[in-house]
Amino acid sequence: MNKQELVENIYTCASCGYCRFGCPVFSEIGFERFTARGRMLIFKRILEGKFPYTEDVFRSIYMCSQCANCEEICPTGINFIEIIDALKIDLAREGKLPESQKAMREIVREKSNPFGEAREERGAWLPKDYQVKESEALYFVGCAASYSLNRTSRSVMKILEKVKFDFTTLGNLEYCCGEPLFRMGEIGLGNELVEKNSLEFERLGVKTIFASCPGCLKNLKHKYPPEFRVLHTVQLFSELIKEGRVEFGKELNQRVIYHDGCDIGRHVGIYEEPREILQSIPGVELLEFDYNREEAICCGGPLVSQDPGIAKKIASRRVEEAVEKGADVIVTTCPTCFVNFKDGAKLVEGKVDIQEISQLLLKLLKK
Amino acid sequence: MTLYEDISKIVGEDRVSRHELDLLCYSRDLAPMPDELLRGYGMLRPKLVAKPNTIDEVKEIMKYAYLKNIPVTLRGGATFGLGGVLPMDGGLVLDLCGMRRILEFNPEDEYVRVQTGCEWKRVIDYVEARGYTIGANPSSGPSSTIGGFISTGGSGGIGTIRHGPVGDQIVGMKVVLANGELIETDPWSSWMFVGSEGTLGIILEVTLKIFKLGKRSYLMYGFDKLDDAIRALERLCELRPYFLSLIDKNLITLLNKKGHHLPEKETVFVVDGDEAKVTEICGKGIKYREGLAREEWENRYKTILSIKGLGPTIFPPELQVPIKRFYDTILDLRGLIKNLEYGIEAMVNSDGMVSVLPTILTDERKKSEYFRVCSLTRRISNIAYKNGGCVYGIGVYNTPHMSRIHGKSLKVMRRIKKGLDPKNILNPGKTIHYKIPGIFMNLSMIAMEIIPTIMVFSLELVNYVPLRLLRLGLRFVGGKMK
Ligand SMILES: Cc1cc2nc3c(=O)[nH]c(=O)nc-3n(C[C@H](O)[C@H](O)[C@H](O)COP(=O)(O)OP(=O)(O)OC[C@H]3O[C@@H](n4cnc5c(N)ncnc54)[C@H](O)[C@@H]3O)c2cc1C
Ligand code: SF4
Ligand code: SF4
Repeated sequence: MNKQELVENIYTCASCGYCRFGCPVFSEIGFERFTARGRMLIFKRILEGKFPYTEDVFRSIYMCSQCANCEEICPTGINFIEIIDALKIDLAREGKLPESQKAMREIVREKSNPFGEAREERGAWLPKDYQVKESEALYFVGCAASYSLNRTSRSVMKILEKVKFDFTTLGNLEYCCGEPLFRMGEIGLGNELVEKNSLEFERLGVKTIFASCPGCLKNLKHKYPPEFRVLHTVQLFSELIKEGRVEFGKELNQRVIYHDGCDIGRHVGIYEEPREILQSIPGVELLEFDYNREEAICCGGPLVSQDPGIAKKIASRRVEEAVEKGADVIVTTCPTCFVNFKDGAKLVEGKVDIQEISQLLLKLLKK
Repeated sequence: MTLYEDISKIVGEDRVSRHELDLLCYSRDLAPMPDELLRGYGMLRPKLVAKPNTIDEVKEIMKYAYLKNIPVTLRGGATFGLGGVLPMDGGLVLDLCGMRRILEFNPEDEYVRVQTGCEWKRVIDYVEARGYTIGANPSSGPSSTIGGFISTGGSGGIGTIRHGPVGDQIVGMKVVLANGELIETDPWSSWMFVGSEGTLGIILEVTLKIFKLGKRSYLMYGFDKLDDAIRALERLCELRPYFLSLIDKNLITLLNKKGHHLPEKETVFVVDGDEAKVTEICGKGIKYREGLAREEWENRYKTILSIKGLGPTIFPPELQVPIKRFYDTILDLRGLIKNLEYGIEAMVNSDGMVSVLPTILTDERKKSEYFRVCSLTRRISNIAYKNGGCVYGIGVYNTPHMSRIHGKSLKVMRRIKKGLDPKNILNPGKTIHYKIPGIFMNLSMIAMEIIPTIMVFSLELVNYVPLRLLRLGLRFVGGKMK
């Protein structure tokens, strides 16, 4: 977004406040400076030279999960996420990132993952004898499923092996997709990772990339060269189920509620495939949150690095609703939602299980 | 102890803010009024914003404010736009949006009980998912609160033509008065607080009637001639549909620039009216396909604001006129604003009154143009009066119209205010307790209107003259300018 577009967008805001309706930050903190409307007013003041661009403003910019709920409901069509991105890019260029973000940037730069884990360990979840090979299909594992949540990556691997789907991973050669860097405005560093990964894709002759992490998915879709076809694993699974290649060996006699994550949902537009998968499981009763699909409320996960307490509280509201609806399981497709829901559930009295979709699917397949 | 500490004790530190950025945000509503003008109107900055979560907290806050004479301004979604939520005397802003729970849904007795900080969309989504619907509700549903709509009269909007103004659907309310006392009202006594714009009490809980939701029809007809459209509208009134509106051709042109796909005609929109009768009445028009009408309904909250970017500022006055004079009103409006880019939407209400909403495109960055457009307020109001109607809502900016709208009942209103809020701490500077006498407000409008046309005076002067007049006015009533 260039300067002119930025200014027009800011003046286009009607201050109508619709953007507060599904804003997770507003619903938890509740003050206007953390809403899209408040920020637009503040930015306008700054443009008019009536207010200084202070650290408080930077903090307000970063205290946003970029869930895009505000953009969805905004009647004037403001590109809130692009505005925030543009401002973050400026802040990053001027070295004005908040400390938490600076720390994260250094870790990603050095280790190529946001957890500070060793690069040589990235493929440690793979079988000892695993060989990276040339293939048209590539599973982009992402940092979370490579290190902390490798039950997901193992499940994806096993499911696809079972149905004899041919693909490769990059093993230790995979780099972080760059999402954490783009998100904080460090696009130069982000693009370096895009280049490194793209070189590997080309070297292996990859045409289709599928990711189990919606954050990677969003980034692969929007920031990588367009010649790669990018899918989420649920799209692949849903295809395989439709082709009759997946056989279930067990029933899941439970009430399941699906949470639309913001990256896979509003940012990429995948809503139906996860539901199709869940509905194809024998015995499942599929429930819906009051606000779902385009209107789904963010779990708060992206705010963990800003304020873990708030992130957890936001998640707990969603868990509470699932409990009220009588759900036995909340299913997510996103590692960030998964972890944050687990945390949030600790604040809620009722019991509900949290499951990541690939792991759930694997458990139910015919042995 | 400071105000901050005292209020923190009541609601908890995480629910008060004196943050510079919040004080800026809470000094504003959705109208981009020039700072100069607001200062001219004597507005002060709030000292603190608090977000109570319970009725008890509100009671405690009010007891405290009453004791210490602290002005308290109530704020819902801040979509009213006439300055109703501006903290004219500074003090404390109570943001009621934290209290937004749906407390009870009772299909047997057909009511829903809600906290008033709840947005209309939330309540409507909730009851509609359960086979019921709501009566009167505003077309700003995602942000307008139950309390805000009731407090601004709730007579124009969706559902009003069938169910009447929102007051007709109130079964009871819980209201905290200026001294912190909690009262409960019945359908009859609730009316006293309807339209009181936060000056008589804080409405915190409301029980609203709900209605069974049947299958709805969505019909749109386009007419080549405005008078044919309006004649159809008049007859359609008798069918008492759930929603009945007119979108004028100018507005359609603007909407189409923003991705709508409507034929460029004077368009009548009917929701849930007897289909055969609607077809008969709209004989002179062409029927749009049902999908289109449904789409417009689903986008009902967004329609008018979707053209905002074309301004990028919009100036949206509102008038209410009897349907018999609706045609003349539109002609008068078109005559007045013919050289500007505008569109007109109108919603028909229960008592044969029509809410007419001209939306004029302008650009607040071009000060002299913007001031001139704002100054149209005066002439547009005159159009309303000429046609037997009036402006809708008072807030700060329509205070010059108080006596014209309320006439002899003003005296009674003053007494009620005195009885319920003797220290005038609730929403001061609004409705009957204005800061600037009407004549000076009007003079400032005239100044804004003519000075840009003379174009002799510099932009600074444009800013300066209304301010001077307002200062003069303030001195006249013995007010102080900070
Ligand atoms: C796009 C758009 C469409 C609109 N459509 C309509 C419409 O169809 N019909 C219509 O009537 N208006 C409409 N409006 C105007 C506005 O939305 C209404 O006046 C609205 O109902 C106000 O609600 P709010 O919560 O925003 O109130 P606010 O603006 O926050 O407050 C309005 C007034 O009520 C007082 N107040 C707020 N809450 C309480 C409370 N709990 N107790 C006591 N006083 C309180 C405030 O102090 C203030 O004086 C529209 C506005 C927009 C932007
Ligand atoms: S919804 Fe859009 S136009 Fe309305 S206040 Fe929010 S950002 Fe501004
Ligand atoms: S992107 Fe999400 S968190 Fe950020 S302001 Fe919009 S709704 Fe709130």
